[in-house]
Amino acid sequence: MKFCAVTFIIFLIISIDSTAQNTLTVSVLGEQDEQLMGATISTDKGHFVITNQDGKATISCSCEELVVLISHVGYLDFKENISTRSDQTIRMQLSDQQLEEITVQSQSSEAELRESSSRVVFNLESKAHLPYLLGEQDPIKFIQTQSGVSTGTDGNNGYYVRGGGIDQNAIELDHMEFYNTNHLFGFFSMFSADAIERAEFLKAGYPAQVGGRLSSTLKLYTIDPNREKLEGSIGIGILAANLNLQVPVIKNRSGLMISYRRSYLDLITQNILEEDHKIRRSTDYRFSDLIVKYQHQLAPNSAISFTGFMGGDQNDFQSSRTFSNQIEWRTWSAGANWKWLISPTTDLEVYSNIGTFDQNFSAQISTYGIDLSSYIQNWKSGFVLYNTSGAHELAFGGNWINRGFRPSQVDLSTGDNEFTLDEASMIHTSEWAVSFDDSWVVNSRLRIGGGLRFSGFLQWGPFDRFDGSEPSLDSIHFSSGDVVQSYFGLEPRVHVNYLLNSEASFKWSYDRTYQYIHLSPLSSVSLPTDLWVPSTSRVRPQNAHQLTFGYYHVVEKLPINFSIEAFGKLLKNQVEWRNGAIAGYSDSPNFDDDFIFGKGHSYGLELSVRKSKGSVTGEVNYTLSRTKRKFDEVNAGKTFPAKYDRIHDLNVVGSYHYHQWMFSGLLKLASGTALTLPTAKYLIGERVISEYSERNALRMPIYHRLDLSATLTPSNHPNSQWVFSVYNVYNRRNPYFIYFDVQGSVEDYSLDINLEEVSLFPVLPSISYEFRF
Amino acid sequence: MKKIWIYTVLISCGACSGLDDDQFPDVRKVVIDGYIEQGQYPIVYLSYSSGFYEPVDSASLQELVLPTARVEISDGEESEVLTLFRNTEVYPPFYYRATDLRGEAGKTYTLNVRSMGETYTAETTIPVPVEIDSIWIEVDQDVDTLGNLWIRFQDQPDVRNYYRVFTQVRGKDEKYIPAYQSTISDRIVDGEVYDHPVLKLPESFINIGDDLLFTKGDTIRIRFCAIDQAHFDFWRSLERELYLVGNPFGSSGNEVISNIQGTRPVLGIWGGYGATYKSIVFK
Repeated sequence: MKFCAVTFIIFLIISIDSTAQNTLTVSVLGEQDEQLMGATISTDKGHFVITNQDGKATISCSCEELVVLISHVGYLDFKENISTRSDQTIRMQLSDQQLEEITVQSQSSEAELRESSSRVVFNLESKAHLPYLLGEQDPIKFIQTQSGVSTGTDGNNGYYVRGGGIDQNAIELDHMEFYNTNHLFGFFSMFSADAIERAEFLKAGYPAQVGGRLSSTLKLYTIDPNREKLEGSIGIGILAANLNLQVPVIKNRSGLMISYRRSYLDLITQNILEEDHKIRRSTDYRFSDLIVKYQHQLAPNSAISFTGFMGGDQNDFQSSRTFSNQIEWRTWSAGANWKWLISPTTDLEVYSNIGTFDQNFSAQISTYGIDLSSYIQNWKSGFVLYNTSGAHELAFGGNWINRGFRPSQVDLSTGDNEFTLDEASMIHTSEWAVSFDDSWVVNSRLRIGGGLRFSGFLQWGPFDRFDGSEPSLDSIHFSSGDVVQSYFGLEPRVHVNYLLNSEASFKWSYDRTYQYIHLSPLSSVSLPTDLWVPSTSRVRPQNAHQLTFGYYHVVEKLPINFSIEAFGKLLKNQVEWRNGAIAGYSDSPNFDDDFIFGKGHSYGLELSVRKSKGSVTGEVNYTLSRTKRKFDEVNAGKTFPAKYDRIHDLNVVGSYHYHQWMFSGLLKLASGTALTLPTAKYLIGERVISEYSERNALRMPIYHRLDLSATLTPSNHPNSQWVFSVYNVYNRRNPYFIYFDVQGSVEDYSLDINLEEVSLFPVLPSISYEFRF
Repeated sequence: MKKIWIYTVLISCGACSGLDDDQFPDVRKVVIDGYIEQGQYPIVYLSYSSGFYEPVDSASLQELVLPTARVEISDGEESEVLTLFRNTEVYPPFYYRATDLRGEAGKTYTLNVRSMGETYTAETTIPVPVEIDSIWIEVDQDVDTLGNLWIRFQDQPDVRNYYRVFTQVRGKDEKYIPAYQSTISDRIVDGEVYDHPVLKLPESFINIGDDLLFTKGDTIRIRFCAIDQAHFDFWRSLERELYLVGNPFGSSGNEVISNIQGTRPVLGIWGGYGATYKSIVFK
C-alpha cells in the first residue's frame, strides 16, 4: 500500500501543476502519413522533446514563434519557424541515405535517454540485423539477444525475462493474444519477419494500460499495406518458402496484406519416398502460418484494420509397426482495430478480437492408445484513449477478455475399447482491467510517470468442485452464470526519468503486476504441449513486485550509447506440477489437484552497449543475475535455482555494411541452465533405477555459439537478395538435454552407465533467396 | 508420454563430458525389494544404492550386497526372522526368506529391517486374488506369426482395485517377467468385465518394435496379481522412470514412490501379491 500512497501523491502534484503558457502539439508524419514515433524535436528556446507512439509531442512556451528542428532516423531533418498558437502537423521527407544506413533502433539515442521505461523498440523494415536460422529470420530470436532475456536451451522459442517463466511474457500481434508462438517445437516463431513492421518489447516501467503478465510484453504490429501500388516478395529457404503481397484495394484508401509461409520438406519426402521408408516416416512434419491484414482509411483522421492469423504444426511419427505418435497444435485469431484521431491532442484506439488455440498429442503402442488434448478460446475487447494536455500525456484504458479453457482431456484405448479418462469440461473465465496513466514532463530534466491499473478475474459456472481426493465424495455444483471464484488486483506503476545532461540520464521504476492465467510446464523442456490453466479457487493469481534502477549514457560523437540497469523482482503464487504428475492422468478428481504453489525471486545487473548508426552497427548485452524458487513440496521447502537460472548471459550482435554486401553475426555465451539429474542408482528386479538430485541442483555446461550471415543485394538486380548464413559456425555441441545410457546386464555383473548429451544443431550452413517486386 | 524422437532430422547425438563428476554426491542408501504372495514364503532382497558414476562390475556389485541385516516379517499375530539364502543366478546373490510363515490373502504384513543401527519398516496387504475369466490371442493383422495376448476379468465394484501382470514364455523365460506397463488401475473400469491387452516386456524401451507381441508356438503363462495402492504406486512410478530413461519430454523430478519408512532415507518396496495363474498356447 506504500506504493499506492506514492502514486496518489504524484497525482496530487499533477493536479496542482498548471501554468498559463501557449501549448502546442506537434504531429510528425512520414511520407505515407504514418505517425513517426521517436522523432526528436528541439527548439531555439531550449526545448527537447520526443514524439510518442502516435507521432506526437507537446511543447509549452510563452513565446509566439519557435524555430524547430525535427530529426528522425531515415528522414531528412526538418527545420522551420512555426507558430505556437495552433497545433502543427509536420510531414517528413525520406532520406536517400536510408538504404545505405542500417538502423537497428527506430528510436534515436536521445529518445531512448528520455524514455521512462525499460523498453526496446525496433522496426523490421530493415530486418537485416535479425539473426538467421536455417535461412529464416525471426523477430523473437532478436528479443532473445536482449539483456535480461534468457533462453532455456537451443531451439527454445520461449524466453525467460528477469527470472519469470515463459507464461509471464505476453506476445501480442495487433492486440491479439497468443498462447503459443512456436513452429517446429520452438525453432522459429510463427511470426514471419516480412509481415511485421514494428516490435515493442517492455520488461519494466510498464504504462498502466499494459498488464496481464508479470515479466514482459512484446507487441508486434503488422505492416500497413501499401495503398498505392502492388508490392510483394517471394522467398525460398532451406526449410520453408514464403510469399508476401500488398495489394491496394481502393487506391490511397485501403489495402490488403497477405503473408504466407509453409515448410516443404514433407511435400518432397511424402511424395517421393516409399511408404515405409525410414526418412519418409520420420519427416512427416509440416508447419505453416498465414497473416492477412486489410486496412481502410475511413476518414483523414480515422482508420480501421482487420487482421487474421492462422498458424500451426503437425507431426506424424512412426518408429515401428507397434509405436507411433502424432502431435499437432494450431492457433487462429481474427481481430479489428480502429484508430480515431479525435483532435490533435486526443486519440482513441478500440480493438476487439477472437482466437483459439488447440493442441493434441496421441501415441499408440501396439494395442494401447493414449490421446491428450487441450483447447483455449478467447474473446478480447478494449480501448485506450490518449490525451495530451499541457505537460501531461494521459492514457485511459480498459479491456475485457473472456476465455474458455479445456486444460486436458485424456482418452485411452485398448484394442477396440475406448475410455475417456477425464471428461474435461470447459472452464469459463473473464479477466478485466481499467487503467489510468500519466506521463508528466515536470521540467526539461525530470519526467515522472505514474499509473494505476485495477484488474480482476472471474471464473464462471458450470463447474463442479470435488471435495477431498476421492471422486465418489460430494461435489459443489455451480450452474451456468454462477461466479465460482473472483479475484482483484491493484497494480500501481511509477517510473521516473531524470536527465543529468544532454548525454546521460537516470531511470527508476516500480511495477506491481498480476497474472490470472498460468502455464504449467510438464517436462524439463518447454513444449507446445505444456498446459495453460486459468486461476481457480486453488490456483491463485500470480503476482509480482519489480524495482529497477538504471543509468543511461549517450556518446553522440562515436555514436554509442550504453546503459547499466539493476533489477529486483519478487514473484508469488508460482505454479508447478507435483513431482511425477502427468496431466489428467492422476486419480485426482479436480484438474488443479496436482499443482503446487510457491514463491520466487530474481535479481540482477544488465549492461548494454549499442551502436545503431553507421556502416558498423551492433550491440553487446550482458546480464548477471540469479533466479530462485521456493515450494513447500519441493526439496523439503528449501530454496532452489529455477531451471532457467543463468548467472552470466552475454549476447553480441553486429552488422557491417559494405557496398552490396551486408555481413552480420551473433555470439551467445551463457552459463548452463540448472537441471535435475540422477545422482545415484540402485537395482530392483535386476533393473537399474536412478535416484535424482535435489531439484535443479546440477548445471548444464556453458552455452556458446556463433552465427554468421552475409546478404548480397546484387547491384544489377536490386530487387533480389541472396542470404548465405551459417548457424553455429564452429560446431559447438550445446546440450539440448542429457540422459543416461545403460549397457550390459546385471546378470553378467557388468554395467556401463554413461551420461549422453544430445545437442540439436551442429554447424548448419544455409542459403535463401528473396525477390521483391 | 514416451519418446518423441521425432527430431531425427535435426538431432545429432554426441557424447561428451560436459558435466563434472564432482557434481554428483555419494550418499549410500539401503534398497529393499521384498514381496509376499499367498501360500508362499516372503522373500526380501537387500542391497545398497551407489553413486551414479561409480563403476558397475562384479567387484562393486558384490560390495553393494547387504547380507548382515535382521529382517523380520509379522502378520500381527505371528512373526518370523527371515533366514539368509544364497542364489548366484540372480542379483543380489543373497536373499532373506521365511521358513515357516507363508502369505495369506486378506492379511496385512509388516516388514522390519535392522541394519547398522538403523531401522526400516513397511506394511503391505495381500488382496483377495481375482480370477482371470478367459485368456486369448489375437493374431496380428500383418504378421500371422505374431499375436496380442488378452485377458478378461471381472473387477470388483465400488472399491479401488489395483493389479499387476507377469508373463512367462515356457522354454524362453526362467521366471515370471512383468508385462510392459504391468500395472492396472480400475479407475476407468470400476466394476466392469474388463478386457486387458498384455504386452511382452520389450528388449529396449528406446526402440520398441514387434517384441511387444508373442510368437506362434509360445506357451505363455500369466501371473495375475491383485495389489494394494502403495504397491501399485511404486511399480507405476518405477516403470514410468524406467521407460522414460531420462527423456526430457517426460515429467521432471520423477520420483519412485516407495512405501518404506526408515530412521535414514531408504529406497524400495515391500509388496503383497494376491496371485492367480493361467496359461495359453499360441497355436
